[in-house]
Order: sequence, then structure tokens, then C-alpha cells
Amino acid sequence: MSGPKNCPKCNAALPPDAPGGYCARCLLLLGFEIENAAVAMTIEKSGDRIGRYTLLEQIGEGGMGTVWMAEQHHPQRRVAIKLVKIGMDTKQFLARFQAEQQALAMMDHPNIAMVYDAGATDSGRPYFVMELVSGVPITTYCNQEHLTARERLDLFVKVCQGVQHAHQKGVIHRDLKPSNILVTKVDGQAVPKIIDFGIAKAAQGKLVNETFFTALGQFLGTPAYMSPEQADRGALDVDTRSDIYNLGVLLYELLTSQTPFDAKELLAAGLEEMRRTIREKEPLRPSTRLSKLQAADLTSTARQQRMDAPKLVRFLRGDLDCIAMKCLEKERKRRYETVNGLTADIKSFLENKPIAARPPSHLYRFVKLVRRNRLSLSVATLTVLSILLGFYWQQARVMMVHLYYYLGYSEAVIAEVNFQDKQPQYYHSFGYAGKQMLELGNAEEVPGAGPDNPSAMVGTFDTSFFLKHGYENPGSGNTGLYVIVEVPTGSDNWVNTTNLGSYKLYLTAKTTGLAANSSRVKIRWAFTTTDDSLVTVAWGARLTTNYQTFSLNLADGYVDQFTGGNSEWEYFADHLDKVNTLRFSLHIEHWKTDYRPDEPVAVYISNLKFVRLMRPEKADGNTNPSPNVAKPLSSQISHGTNALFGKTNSPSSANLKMSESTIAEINFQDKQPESSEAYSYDGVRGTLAGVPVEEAGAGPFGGNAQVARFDTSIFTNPALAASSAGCGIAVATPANRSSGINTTNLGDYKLYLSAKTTGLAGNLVHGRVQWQFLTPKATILTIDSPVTFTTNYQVYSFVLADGYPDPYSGGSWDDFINHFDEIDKIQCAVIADNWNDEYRLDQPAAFYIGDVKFVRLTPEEKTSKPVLP
Amino acid sequence: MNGLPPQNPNFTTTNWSVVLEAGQTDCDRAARALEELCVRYWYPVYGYVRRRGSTPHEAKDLTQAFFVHLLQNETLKKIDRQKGKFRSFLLTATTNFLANEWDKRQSLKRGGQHQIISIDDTEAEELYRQEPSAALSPENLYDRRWAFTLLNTILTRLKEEYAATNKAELFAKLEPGLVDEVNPGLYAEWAAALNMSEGAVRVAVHRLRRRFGELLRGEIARTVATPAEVDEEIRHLFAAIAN
Repeated sequence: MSGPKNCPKCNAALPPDAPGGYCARCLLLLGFEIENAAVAMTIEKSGDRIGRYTLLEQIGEGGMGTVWMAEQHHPQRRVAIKLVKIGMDTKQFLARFQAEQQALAMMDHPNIAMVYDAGATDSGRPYFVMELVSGVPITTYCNQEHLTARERLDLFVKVCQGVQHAHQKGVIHRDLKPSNILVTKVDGQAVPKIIDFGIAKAAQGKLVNETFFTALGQFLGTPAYMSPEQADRGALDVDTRSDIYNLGVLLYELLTSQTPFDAKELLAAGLEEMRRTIREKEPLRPSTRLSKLQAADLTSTARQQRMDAPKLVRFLRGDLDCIAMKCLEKERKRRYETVNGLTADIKSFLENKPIAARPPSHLYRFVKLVRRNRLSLSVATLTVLSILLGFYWQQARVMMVHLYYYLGYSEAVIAEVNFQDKQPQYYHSFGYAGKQMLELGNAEEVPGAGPDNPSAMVGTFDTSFFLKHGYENPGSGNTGLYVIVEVPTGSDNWVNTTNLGSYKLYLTAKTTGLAANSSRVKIRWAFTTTDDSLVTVAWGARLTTNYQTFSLNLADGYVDQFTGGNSEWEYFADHLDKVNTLRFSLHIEHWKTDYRPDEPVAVYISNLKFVRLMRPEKADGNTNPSPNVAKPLSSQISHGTNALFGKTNSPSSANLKMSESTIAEINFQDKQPESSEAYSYDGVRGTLAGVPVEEAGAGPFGGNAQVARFDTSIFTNPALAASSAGCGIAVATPANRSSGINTTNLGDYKLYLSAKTTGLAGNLVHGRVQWQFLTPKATILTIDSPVTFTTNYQVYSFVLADGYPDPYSGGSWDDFINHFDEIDKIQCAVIADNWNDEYRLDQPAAFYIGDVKFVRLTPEEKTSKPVLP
Repeated sequence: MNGLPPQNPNFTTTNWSVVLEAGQTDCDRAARALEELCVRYWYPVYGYVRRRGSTPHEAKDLTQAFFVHLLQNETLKKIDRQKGKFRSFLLTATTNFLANEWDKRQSLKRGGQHQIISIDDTEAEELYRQEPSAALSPENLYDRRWAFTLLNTILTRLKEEYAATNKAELFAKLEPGLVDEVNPGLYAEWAAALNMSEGAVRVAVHRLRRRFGELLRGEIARTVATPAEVDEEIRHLFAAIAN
């Protein structure tokens, strides 16, 4: 049968290939219903005995089941029993509960109701036994008692303390909401008690899902409290920061009597829209939300807090807005790391001290307000498409946006291996041409063959092979060379990686003697355990005959180059301690006359560092906390690269570092384009019609970005198939020179560059990123480096140090240094040379220039390893 | 009522745990068990390879070559018994295969003469063309395709079971009840059409759903290492479809 457009059960849109025309998710849920169909019909009544308990009176009913007051006989006490009606495997459920029980038993906090026991009724229905709390939901209590905002915050802090206690014991609540936080009076004092701790875990997150998916109508509370990650992935990937989101919603509701998203509106919008809203839509700040209420509602909300309306709005505006919004960040790494951080900010606020949370920048807020009309780009007929967008930025000085937060992370080294002193255990090379393959032999150690003259593993080839099969008809087939080097990591260097968080991986390798300038090569890194290959990182580079470094920085969230994707990254992080071999391979795909088989080939794996990204600590003590102690990209990179790119290779001098004095640093995150143009190239160079627009929310981290849309039909023109059809997008910006640049000193320099794009192409499509530095007279430097595009956000970052000038394809480093102070424009372009159907012009392509920094390197005395958080 | 239709006799003869257990010792047995799984789940691999940027022709060859590689004794012996589910194993294996073997293979043999599974070019591309064009990563596409393949298998099997016990008509009528909250009016309508009491129709719908659930869990059990992982796998697929 052909299915309806929407699932009649959950209202999700049905794709054309839905199995049998039915909603796949609802079909999957049938797998859960088997054991509970009969159970659901069973109805308990007072007087029934369940295990050691006698049911007395039903005191509540919710999406997950019924709650009873019950009598326990040994020891004699009144308890609350929650009978679960959701579909779950009872045995597994109990097993999980028992596994959790030890942690639950360790919790002992006045703001947490104890969970005593769990079991199953004769009909297999699971139940929990909990401390009986006679109280009302916290929001109800606050409104009944007309608590002031300050009193509400005091109560909220107690809730936080309970949650923090649980987190310290390793227990996550996963379903924090007012109906799970009851306020009771003890000696006249209001005491909030959190109930149901650990229950969602025992149900493995199903509670949240279940209330969400099957009890839409009757259980309004949960969707409004659901964190983006719960909405996105069910409750499969939830950590303490989900609880922090829930606390943010609670704070919001306590202060405004509204949840960030209206529960009824969420429900009315349908399931998919609800999930989208929770995942993507930015809620209004509490003060804004209040001021947008109808006058009568605002007055009554304020009156409940014994305040007049304008005063309440003023009270919330600023710090409390920031605190709530920080909890409610979509990306959990941008929330408070711990509940303690949240509590500290609330306390600071109550004591009129500065808080750590910062408001989103002007630009960020601006982005949320401005949503310009999209321009549809009508496209002229062109053989080859290139779009050149010239963006001119205003000079307005605004704080950095989202990226700033992210880049502010400091790095804690999890594992670092320096391979300078390790010899490869495996070094193998082979060449191939057409169907023929030739082993080119292993390498031997040759003293003095390495960079800066240490020993290197060197392989020599029989060039006649390539002469025979490569030169005679170059370009006719797959002719190439493979070099593989494997080095044991030395497992003693590895440490426990079980902590969750964001990670970043630095890799470097060096080669020499491979090919003439600008030959393309594929680089792959593979991490192997005894049993398994964990991840492979693939990317493109250009070869030269010089010594050159292949370095790569990968941060969690930018996993484009992982051929395995995000799940592999997680798997990698989890299994890193088992990695025992690192394999570096270099693959020249198309043999050209530029290649130099007459020279020996040396390959080093030089360094590998795996770090965890940590949010910087708040500035200490009496000094005013700086508005944002986060450092820009360049300083972050330099931190890692000092260790990686140290110019010496001797193991004993691994700690000898080059310090960096900044010559110029430009951050383009804060500059808005003033105008832009689109061009084509190749033969007919002309305007491509259409102007890219700034689009709110199109950038990484939800920021805005310049977005261009193209008519893809042009690429389906068969005439293009044979040509070098391609596409380029470029961003240019005035270089906003720092004053006082002195470039007359000679020395070692280093240039950091970063740019970002999204929506360019299908995975792993090869292309180029090109940077150009222009003075009014000339282009003094062009850097051209191959990359692989993906549809994800990706960062193109380059670190170029004097002595490793391989990626330069135009101008010279000397010109660059000598004329640096004349630069008035920097342009960054992504170029898709060979058009294929993986390019995604139907999607918006967004482009940022991120950060440019030019530094002078000066040797620094040997220092001890920096102590990292 | 006659109760539920009989179980498919092939239902428990082989599963992923056989591969995991026999891989070290009895390669032939493991290979047979694995092959049976592969025949069922080849399309997610194809879709994944395509989404990674291969042309239809390349993808077909690579998929074929991958399964040849997978069913070699050497590969079987390396399968990590701790590695869990067949679905994730297959994805990881495909990824590694593409990353490490592809270039070598393309010069040596592209699937060669060996064919483990029968890939119909038109069918494969027909399926692939239906894939959502939105930004699904190869991994998302793989999971999604996996889930759909699984559910289609179950729907077909359920239909066959009903047909085998002369209940094809009943199945055809009640099938929409699998995912619909059937309202009383519809029960009455079905009851009239099937010449059954309304109560009997309710029970029949309930049994249909229940049987679907059983078959689903049974099929998933074939692809995971331990029965305990069935719930987790359902949740994973549930979440994957959303993406």
C-alpha cells in the first residue's frame, strides 16, 4: 500500500521509501511492546500487596505510571511506590537498576529523596520504592507562597546542590523537571527534594523517550524540559550537562513562570517540529520573554514574586539572562561544565559579584535578529563555473562570536608520543601502473638522511618501473606510488581516556625526496590496536623535493577527515589506550614526470598528540575577571604546534621551544561583509549573477555566515563533463593592519591561517584552498593547498613556518615579509577544480575567514613541560 | 483462534554469534553464517560506498570486492569477538576496507570473478536514487538504510507467515493497524469486512503487532552478539532514522 504523507501515529513526515509505507520509527517501537501488552492491562488497587509492600492510596499518575503511597513492613515505614507502565524488558531493567543501586545508595543529601528498592510485580511490571515526600512541585510551591525572585534563587541553589551531589556520585538524573522536585517544609524551612534519581538511567533513558513519544497529550512537562541531545538522540547520549540544561529550564520557569519553549506549542507543532525546535531554535532570554508577555500576564507573574513588572524585568536582565542562557546552550560543551559552576554564578549574582557566564556578543545577538531575504541566483550559461565573492568588511569592533568560546578551550594532554627516537617497525613501498604492481622494497636506516640530519628510514626505488609504465603514457591510467610507515606507539605513553569531553588530535610527519613542486598526494593516518584498525584520517597535500611536514589538527566536531565519521571518533577516543601502532601512508595517485624516483625517499613520523579541550578557568582572585579569557585560534594552535613543530629533531631537545612574538594578528570573525560579487572564470570571466547573502544561523555554532546558492543545473550540461568544470568561492577582506609592524628584522617567521566553510560538497571531494595576500601593487603571496571538502562544517587551517615553504605557489616568503606592512587585502578561496555530482550547490555554501596571525619565532630556553589543567 | 502463525523454520539456524564463535575455529561455518547476513544487508554497504563518492560502477565493484574480502578466512579470524553488533562491524569493516585496501585493489582486481552477492545494477541505483538528498553522511545513510532493510524484511516475512496459514486476506486488511491508533469505527469496519466480531479484530490486530515485534527482535538478535543488545540496537536505529 502507499502510505500517507504523515504517520497517523506520531505525525512524522514519511519518506517515499518508508518500509511498506509505514513510519519506520513506529514500526521499531513495536519491538518494545511485546512484553508489555498484557502488563498494561493490569490495574492495581489499594490493599494489593507488591513484594514487601502494601498499596495504600494512589497519590499520582503520570506518563510513566502510577505512584502509590504504600506501607513497608520491615522496617515499618511509609514509602512511595512508582509502578512503571512503560514498555521495557523487565529483567534488563532490574539488572540495570541493580547496577545503579550502589551509586544510588551512596547518595545521601537533604535535597535528594532516597530510592530504596526496585522490583517487579507478579505480572512483570517494574516498580521503584522511594522515600515518601509529601510536597508540591517546586514551581507550584513558589507561586503558592509568592516567593520573591531572590527566594526562588535560594531554593534553586539547594536543588543544584542536590544535583551536584548526585553528579559527584556518578548519578545523572536525566529527567529533572518541576514534578520531580517537590518542596516540603522541614522545621518551617522550605526544602526541595529531588525524586526519581537514577530511575531514568535504569530505564536507560526510556522514560524521557516514552513520555515524549507515547504520552504526548497527557504529559506536558517533559518536552518543555527535554535537552537538545535528548530530543536529538533519544536519551542515548546524555551526560551531566543534560541535567544542567534541565536546571536551566527550571531556572527560567521559576523566574518567568514560562518554560523556554511553550509545552503546548511544542506539542501542537507535531513531533518532528518539536524536536527541531528543541534542537535548533534559540529561546528568548528570560527578561525578553517576560517583556513580551501580555500586560496582564506580566503583572500577575511579577505579583507572584511580589515585585512590580518593570522591576522584575530589570532584575532578570543581564546576569540572570546570561546564566539561564548558558545552561540552555544547544551545544552542551558551551553550557556550564558542572553544576558547581552554575551554583557559583547564582551565588555570585545574589552577592552582587561578577559572574562567569558572559552574554552572547553583539554580533551573535544581531545574527539572531537579522534574517535577510535569500536571493535566488539565476545562473548564466557557462562552461566552467567559478564564483568569486569579494567581501569587504566594515571595521566595526565587536567581540568574537561563538567561535570565540570554542577556541578558548585550553588543552590538557591526554597522550603525547614523539616518534623522533623510534624507528619504524614496518616500512614498505610499492609502485603500480595499470594492472601491474611492483614491490619497491623496504627501507633501511641511513644516518644523516633525515631533516636536520638525524638518521632516517630511506627507501630507494627502481626507477625503470616508472619509466616503463608511467612515462610512456602518462595520465592514461593509475600509475603511482605507495609508501607506508608503521611505528609502534609504545603503549606506556597512553593514558586513560574514559573521560568525556571534546578532543583534539595533532599529527605530524615529514618526508623528503618525493617529487617536484606541487604534486598532489594523499596522506592517510591509521591507528591500529592489536585487533582492529580504529580510525583512518585521510587528506590531501602537495609534495615537493624539499623536506616537508604533513601536519594535521583535528578537533572533535571537525571530524570530516575521519573516514569513519563521528562514531568512529568516539570509538577512537574510547580505545586510544589500546592503540599500539600508528601507520602513516602516502599515496601518489598519478605519476608525473615531476616525480623523482632517482632520489631516495625518507619518511618520518614525528609527533602525535591527543588532547582534551578544557574550558579556561575563570580569572582568579581580586582582579576583575576579564570579559573573556578565551584565546583566539592562533594562540591555541601555537600551543600545540610549539611541541609539534619544534625545529630540532633530536629527542633530547624535545622541550626546546620557539616562543612567538606576534607581528600582526587579525581576527575576521567580527567583520561583516559590505558587498559581494560572484564571477565565473575560465575563458569567459564575468559576473555569475547573484549576490550571496548573510544568513543567520548558517555558520558554525549557529552563527551567521555568507551563504551562496547556485543553480546546479549548469553542471548537468554534458558539455561540462569533459571540461575542467569547477567552482570557486573566495572571500576577501581588507587587512586591517596593526600599527607598529616592524618587519625589518630577519629571523624565523610563522603564519597561521584559518577559514571555514560548510555545505560545499559530498564527503571527501578533493579541492583546494587558496590564500592570497595583496598589496595595492601586487599579490605578494599565494598559498595553495589541496583539501578534501565535505558537507559538514570544516576548518581549513594552515601553519606555515619559514623553512617549510612548500605550499607556496606564488610570490615568495621574502616578498611577504618585506611587504607585509603594505598588505591591504587578504583573500581566501575554496576551489573545486573538477566538478562532479558530489558537489552540492543545492545547499547553501557558507564561508568564513577565521583568523590570521603572523609571528616571529625566537628560541626560548629549555623549559619544563607546561602544566595543563 | 489458532494462535500465532508458526515460526519461520530458518529463523534461528544462524546468527552473528555463530560468526563470532566459529570465526576462530570453523571458518567455513562462520563464512556461511556471515554470507547469509551479507546477502540480506548488502544494500546499506552499497549505499554507504556510493555516498562516499564512488560512481555506480565503482560502488558495485567495491561492494562486491568488500564481501569477497570479508569472507576470506584471514578476515574471519580477525573479527573481534568483543566488537558487538553486526551492523557496526560491517560499517567499520567497510570503512577500513575502503581506506586501506581500495587503492591496492583497484589495480589488482576489482571484485574479480568472485561474486558473493548478486547486485543488480539497476536495482541498486534505483534504491540509491531514492535516498534523501539532504545532508546525510555516509554513516547516517548506512544506518538508515539498514533500518529500512530490516523493517522491509520483517514486513515481508510477516506477510509470508500469514499467507502460509491462509490468512493473507486478514493480513492485508489489518496491516495498517501495525502503526495506527485504530479508532473504534475502523475496528467495526474491519470486523464487517472480515466477517469477524469486533473483539476478535482487536485481538487480531494486537497479535499482528506482537508478532511483528517478535520477528523484529528475532531478526535483530541475529545481528547482535548477545540477546541483551537487542533493545540497544532498536534504540540506536530509532535514533538513526531521526537523523
